[in-house]
Amino acid sequence: MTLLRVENVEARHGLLQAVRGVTFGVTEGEILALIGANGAGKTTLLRTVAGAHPLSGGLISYDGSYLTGVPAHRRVRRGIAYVPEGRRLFPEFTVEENLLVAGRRARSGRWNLTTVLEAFPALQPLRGRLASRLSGGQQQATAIARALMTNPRLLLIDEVSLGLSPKAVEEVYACMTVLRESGTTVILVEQDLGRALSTAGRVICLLEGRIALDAKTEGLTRDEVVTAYFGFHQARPA
Amino acid sequence: MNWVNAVIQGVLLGGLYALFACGLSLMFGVMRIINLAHGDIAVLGAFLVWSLTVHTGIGPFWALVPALPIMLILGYVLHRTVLARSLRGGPLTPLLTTFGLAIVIQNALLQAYNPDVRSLGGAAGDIATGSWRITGQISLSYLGVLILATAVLVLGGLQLMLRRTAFGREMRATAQDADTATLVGVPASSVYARATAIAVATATLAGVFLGVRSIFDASSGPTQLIFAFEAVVIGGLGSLWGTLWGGMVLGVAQTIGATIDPQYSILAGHLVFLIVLASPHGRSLLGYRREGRPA
Repeated sequence: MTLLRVENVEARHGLLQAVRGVTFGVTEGEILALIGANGAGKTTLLRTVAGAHPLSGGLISYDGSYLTGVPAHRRVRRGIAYVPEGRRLFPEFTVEENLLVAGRRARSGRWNLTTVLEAFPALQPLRGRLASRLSGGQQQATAIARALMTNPRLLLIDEVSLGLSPKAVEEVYACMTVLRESGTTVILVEQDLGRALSTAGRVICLLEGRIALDAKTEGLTRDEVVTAYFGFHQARPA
Repeated sequence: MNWVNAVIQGVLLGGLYALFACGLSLMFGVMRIINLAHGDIAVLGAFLVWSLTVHTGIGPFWALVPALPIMLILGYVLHRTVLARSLRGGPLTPLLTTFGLAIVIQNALLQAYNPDVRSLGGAAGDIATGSWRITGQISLSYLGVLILATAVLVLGGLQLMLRRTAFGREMRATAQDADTATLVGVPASSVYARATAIAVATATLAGVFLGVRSIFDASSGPTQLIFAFEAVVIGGLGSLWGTLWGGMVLGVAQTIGATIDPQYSILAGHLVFLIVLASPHGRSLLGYRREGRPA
């Protein structure tokens, strides 16, 4: 079943058109990696789906109904959660408060403070710590846990491993196992191509706001990804 | 003994200033806007209570029972119809909007009630004039103690609500980062509207105490706004307990000034405000403005 349908979506930053006529669908339970060079439009596309960026053209439908005009907080209640780039935790809140604030108006579902802390045992001893005092990996885990508190059907994660140490990246990707097991549909933006391709079942590569590649990760060659990513065929060494 | 009495009276007066200031502080803390119509809204509330008192014959404190819900609704509607739009226009727009709103309220009150001064003291009964005599030179007025107790209760209640309730948590989350709050399901606009409603209700409470304690007219609002603003700045922008402390410092400064010479009363308060503004504490407030967060 198609959970999310993006049709000819366009988004702008002032005069700059960041997303140009993008069309794709996401099936329930799928993990989709959105890749592309800096400025390709990945974050803008994700924010547009989340309702944090205005749609300039096209349509987005979710679970059979259009999201046009639906504010971000109502999209959360319909089951779309967004983990923003840079985590954006509430710095003056403890880990527990960060989770609780997201859980207050959540849809009903399996996730609550207890189940989230069970799924992210590393957060258990940190629940009373201020978010501003967490390491990057701990912040990312908290941000994903906070999004889960809303009981999402579709989770949008922006720049999963950006700015994290290799150890923290390992910790964060351990969270992905939890998401896969829970059957949550995930769209993740990732700069680490290896990680993206090994985690997701499907990849979409954006180039200058357009889709340059939309394919299953299984059987995808390095050349195909590089061509889509940079927009040209790499010269092979003689 | 005169000085001790001056300090005691100043602390009691500070309760009124803190009550005036708490709505201003709440709105700044949550929405980062300074409501220049705050004093006029307080006076509007006092006039509403005065009308209820005159037309129904009930005392001003009983008149608060219908007046507070009315002003809560007015605050909510004010945000939904006026402030929400102006918030989208950048930081200067709400300042201009509330300045315009202050002028509208003053002129509407002038039109509806004429320029005569009024008081709620007569309708309040003994509480407006009675006092406990502690020594020959020290007395505690019933009203002063009631106002201070109310200020502590209101500020304490608001603090408790912000720290301990889910709604308070949403309000603090919105104050920290409204965009992210929206992305975790918090309706920021509704949180803002409720904060405005609470601020308007507390302003009404302060306006009624002003009316019982002394006199008011259609143009009393700006003076109260200045005192409230000074209390907020002295106590620290956006801090509720700081607002109580700021109100008391301002009140004590004014009563000590008045003890030296009655004409120094208001001036002493302004001087303390300017000293605080020039101090490292004041410089940190200016840093707050530059960075958008406490320095």
